[in-house]
Amino acid sequence: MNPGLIAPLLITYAGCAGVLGHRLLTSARWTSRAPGLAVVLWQAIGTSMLLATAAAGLALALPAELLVHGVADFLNACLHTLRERSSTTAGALTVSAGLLLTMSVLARAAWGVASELLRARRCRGRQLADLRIACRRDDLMNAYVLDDKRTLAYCLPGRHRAVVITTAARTALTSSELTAVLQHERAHLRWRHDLVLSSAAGLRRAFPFLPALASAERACRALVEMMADDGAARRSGRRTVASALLRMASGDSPPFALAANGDGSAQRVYRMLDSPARLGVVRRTGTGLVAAALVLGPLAATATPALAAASGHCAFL
Amino acid sequence: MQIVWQEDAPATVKDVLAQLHREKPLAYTTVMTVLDNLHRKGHLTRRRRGRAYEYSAARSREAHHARLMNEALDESADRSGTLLKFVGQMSPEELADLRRMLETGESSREPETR
Repeated sequence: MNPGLIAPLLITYAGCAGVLGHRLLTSARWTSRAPGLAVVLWQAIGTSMLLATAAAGLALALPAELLVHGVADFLNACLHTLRERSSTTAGALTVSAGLLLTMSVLARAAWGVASELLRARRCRGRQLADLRIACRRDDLMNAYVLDDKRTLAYCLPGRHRAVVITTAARTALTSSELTAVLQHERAHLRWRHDLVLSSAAGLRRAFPFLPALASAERACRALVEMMADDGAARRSGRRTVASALLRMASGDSPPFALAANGDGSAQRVYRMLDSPARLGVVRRTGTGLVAAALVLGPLAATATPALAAASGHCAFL
Repeated sequence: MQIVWQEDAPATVKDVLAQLHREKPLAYTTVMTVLDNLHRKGHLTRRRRGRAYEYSAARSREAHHARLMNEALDESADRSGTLLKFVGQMSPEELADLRRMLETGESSREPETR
């Protein structure tokens, strides 16, 4: 394969992965049957796009044959090649463009995710401090109790973790429903859903012009709720989770007005009542392999010319 | 803070200590430090009464809880994923439909998903 084709191929791939992946996953029906796998796939798509673009930049700047040399020689070979290629104007432009692309894409992604993580941590830290000061902590429920007539339960995930529930919710829910709610929130904490959401939000923040990343964040938000529902359902039963969801959504005394339209929460109850069959082993493994291929693919593409050169090298020896 | 709110009147370190002592034994200096910290963070106001300070809550308990609720219900907190609410909102139709399904034990809504 002509090494000059690698970079544009990788960029095209990144674009296609975004468009196709986003479209396929958004309309897929199986995602509600295996939400965890769907999350992995969404993250794989985003990562794949990122890696492909970074690899394209590298492919532009450096010929892949360099990967054949040992690490010690690698840097020397890189510098030498860069100097050599930069001796012509076209070469210099290509080299700078390539390096710039790789560095900016990776740096931007890192910035997006890091700033998201920091922002979330700061907000949650402040909230937790407020909760500690103002609220009683129920040791039995292992949660903070907020005095309010409205039914509400939520968790603060991450490092500053807490589960919060209002007095109204505690009175409205039956004891098994209450357990289910707490189990749901605890599942979020246990499985670190904050990291999933922060990375999705971070990538979106870094590249807001890519619709695939916005879809990924939206989808992951809904999927982690399904995962937590499943976690609670495993111990409390699906009907209990369903009735807990309904009771909490009904709100309570005015002025808590019911929404004219739902926000998709009803789907979760339908899902609990529907009990869809679990995805078969074949499909699950297949999907996992697709996710792995998405991430490893771009890396392999950059390495293939090196492997070809290496085999040529060996044959010569 | 709970004790200060409960008392509903300015309290000295000794008052607070007396209340807390029922639950667990604490040193005078510990309580004094905590009250001082709360004052520094703006949760308590204080006034000199003789040799000791008298502490009062800067904001009522209701105000605190109301603010926490508002923060939790705030759209941006929801959208940004700072906190994860148990459930969002459903329309009256959805609620009615789902309640009916739950009561009748109906389990299939979209047969084609099976």
